[in-house]
Amino acid sequence: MNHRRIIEGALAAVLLAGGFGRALAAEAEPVGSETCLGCHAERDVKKKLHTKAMSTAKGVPFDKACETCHGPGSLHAAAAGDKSSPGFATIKNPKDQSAAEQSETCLTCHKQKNLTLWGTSSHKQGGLSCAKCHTMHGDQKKNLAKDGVETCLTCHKKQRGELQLASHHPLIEGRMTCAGCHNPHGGVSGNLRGETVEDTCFKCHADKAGPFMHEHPPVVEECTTCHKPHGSANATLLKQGEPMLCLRCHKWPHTESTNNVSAMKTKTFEQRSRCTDCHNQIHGSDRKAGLKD
Amino acid sequence: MNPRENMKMKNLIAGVLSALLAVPAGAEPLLSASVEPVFYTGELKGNRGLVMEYDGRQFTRSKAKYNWDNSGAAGKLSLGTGSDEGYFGFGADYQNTYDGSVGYQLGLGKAWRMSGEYDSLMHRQPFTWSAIGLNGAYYPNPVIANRGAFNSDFWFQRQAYDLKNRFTLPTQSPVSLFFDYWRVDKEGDAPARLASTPLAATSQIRNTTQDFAAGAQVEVGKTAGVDYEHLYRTFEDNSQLVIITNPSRPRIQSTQWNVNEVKFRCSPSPTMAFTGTLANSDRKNEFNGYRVKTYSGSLAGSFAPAKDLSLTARLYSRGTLVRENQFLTRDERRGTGDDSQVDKNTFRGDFQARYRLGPAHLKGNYRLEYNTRRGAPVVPFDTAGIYQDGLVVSSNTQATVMAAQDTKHILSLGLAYELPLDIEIEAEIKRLIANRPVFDALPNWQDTADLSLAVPLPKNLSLLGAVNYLQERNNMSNLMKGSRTQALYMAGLSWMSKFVSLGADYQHENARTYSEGYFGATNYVSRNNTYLRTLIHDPGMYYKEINDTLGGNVRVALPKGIALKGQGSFTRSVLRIPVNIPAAVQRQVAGEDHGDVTDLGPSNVGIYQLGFGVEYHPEMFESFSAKLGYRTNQWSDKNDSRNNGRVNVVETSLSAKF
Repeated sequence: MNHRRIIEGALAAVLLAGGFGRALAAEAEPVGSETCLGCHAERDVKKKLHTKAMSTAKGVPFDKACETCHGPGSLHAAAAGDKSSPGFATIKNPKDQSAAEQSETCLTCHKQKNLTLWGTSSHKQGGLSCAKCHTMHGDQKKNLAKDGVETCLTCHKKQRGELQLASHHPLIEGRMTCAGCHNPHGGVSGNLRGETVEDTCFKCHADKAGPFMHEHPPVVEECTTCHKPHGSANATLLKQGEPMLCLRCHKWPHTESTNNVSAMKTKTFEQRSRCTDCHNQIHGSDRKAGLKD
Repeated sequence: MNPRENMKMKNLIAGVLSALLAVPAGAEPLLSASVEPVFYTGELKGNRGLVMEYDGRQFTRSKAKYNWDNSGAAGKLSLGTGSDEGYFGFGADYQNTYDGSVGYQLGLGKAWRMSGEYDSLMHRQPFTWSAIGLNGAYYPNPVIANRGAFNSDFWFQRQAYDLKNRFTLPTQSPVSLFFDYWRVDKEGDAPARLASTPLAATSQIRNTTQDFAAGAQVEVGKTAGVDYEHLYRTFEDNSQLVIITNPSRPRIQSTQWNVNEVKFRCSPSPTMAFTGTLANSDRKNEFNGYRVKTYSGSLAGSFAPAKDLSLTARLYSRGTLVRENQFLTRDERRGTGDDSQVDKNTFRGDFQARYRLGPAHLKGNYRLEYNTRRGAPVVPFDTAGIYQDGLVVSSNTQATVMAAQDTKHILSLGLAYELPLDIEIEAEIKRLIANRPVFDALPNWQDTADLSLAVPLPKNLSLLGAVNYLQERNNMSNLMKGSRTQALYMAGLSWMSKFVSLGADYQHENARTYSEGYFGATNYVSRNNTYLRTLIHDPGMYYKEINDTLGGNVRVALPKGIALKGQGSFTRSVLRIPVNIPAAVQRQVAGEDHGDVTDLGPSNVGIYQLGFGVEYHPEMFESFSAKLGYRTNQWSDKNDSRNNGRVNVVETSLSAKF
């Protein structure tokens, strides 16, 4: 009998607590963004383009801007910073949500075409949410939490050293971002903007795309056959220095002729150790089969 | 500025922007603005080509330190306003005559979004000397003319324009239309050498790429959508190759792309998602009549049958057809164009599973890729060769090959484990196996291993260490068997306290690539009907690369709104291609260099960057700040001082935010 009463009492307590919790959630009401800024003034949301765009694009006036994403805040505001208060945690904090819940908030409004493949993207499968890279309260472009390159290098650490090598795209100079070549929201081939590596590279480097009368097969196959796009110690982002890169597929053909006698001479190596000095149309040529002007 | 004047400024800006947007009287727009003028003065020593590769400022080499001619102004400006009717954001960043960007975003009602951006960048194309190792010492090519004699730096300006428009139709299933325009102009010069002359020349860069894209996006219910886009791209190249001793030759290219792409997405349940694409493209070079068509499709699905388990599968197929212009006779020496280009078909499948078991995250991935190529070139060596080390190569036993078919299997397994005290360890191994490599330079077998450790310590200190190891080989080639190994070590440190933040990272890379070196293909030289006395075979030729990169930053907050900042980076790269081509196997000619060739590509470069400065944020005027900073960049070539350069710059700026 005593055991039964204890169990009933515990069950009633659980139900009461749950009901009380539900009652708390049901009672939370919007308080307006000015109330939020009373404690969270550092968010400075009035000056953020996201706040302005919400008003225009989605008809969400500034007064409702905070609670559209974070939920009604009356109980949270009433807690006045007391974390032990039951009402304090009724506000939606992205840090307490799963990746899917965080992203759901953003994807309710954001349906741009570069998000079409997000559902099966490697970032989403890896457990990333929008809030991992973006923040509505920041000053960076595209609402990134850090600038365009630092956001990516937080996880992709190997590329940090490559970007500092002698030959590199102007990322560390701030003139380009990772998103110039990659779509972090998902692409057909990994996270590239183009369908293939070549489609990605040929957008800015269309002079290499051809088609040419005389093609260089590694160019047709894939740019990364010869290049390292994130950075290289060799000129023009090559994987190995010349002539080593070329000699991995080709025999050295050059001899020098003196008095009609052909031979390997020191002069041969002095003048021809950098193949693209002469083979300057290495990506393809309409002029000569030797890929040069 | 006191609060009353601040309010007057706000009202003035509000009035101007409201007039632009026709914001109804009485509406209270959300306003923001910031401005930051910058003044700089600098000094250049040595060669600016490499140390200022992406910096368009024209610091001259002057004896006077920080003279007025090496000074200039730059600055940033941003404005923004928004209301129920519209929003407008504008930003400009002017760095110098050649570097800068301007952008805006505009939204009117719920229907129209527009954004535009212009960016200009100067990219220097430095003139450098090739070099070998001769008798163990660095020896630059003596034939190339001095850069000074050839005059001036080489550089080109890249200007990019990007306009986007999006209209949302007020239908029940929301439909959006978009029209985008993108353009890149490149104009300038690059150094060139020609096969027909040892003299350096100028290669012009004069080309324009334009993208015109239009399409529609349809949302089907709340969980599905379809996009269609048509892209029309043009590329025009009107450069000239300027040759000092011969008439210049035009290098004309005119290419058009037409691309159609359809994408769809569908999420029938919170645990399931599907995406897919269908695309075709048609690329034609109007100058030579060659045409490339592609057809592709992909389908991907992800499913989470349980809370801690997710499965993903991706299928992809692409076909590429080249329509050669077989009657083309533009080639100057060889008569007709190449009538056998490579058509390619690719089939690819990716399968991934992720599972969380307590503190462990497991990940497995398998990829299968199957490629076929019609017209893949095989260039046989149809004459025999006898090499100085005794190697005899019979005719038609070696060839330079592109594989007509290759199949790759790539398997990777990864583990991330959360240890006590918030320590995280991650490990991954990956293996690639191919039935044959596409080229001799690529592997048919590759193993990769990654290991990283992140350790949070007391006092907001955190440490990171990581190792990456790669080993690959091509042991199937009939011409160039080779292998490559690469080891990468990384370490990082960060610390943050109330007044100090500090970060540092270090990376060390050691890579070697081994290959056989064949210097000479045949003993018989057909062009002058002579017999080549010695062919050289180096079975142990290798490429060695060692890179060290170090970076750090620090910020110290002092009382009264003062902050000290510093940041720096250091990169050292040592490259070598050791070979064994002794003088004894080379023909000696009077008046010409003769010696042991010990290296085909020596390089030893250090890149240094150091900056420090002070910021002042007055406590009474939180919207204002001032900065004073010094920065030095240096490029140091240990072998060839002609490439060395150093730039010192002092910058001061003020900023105000409203």
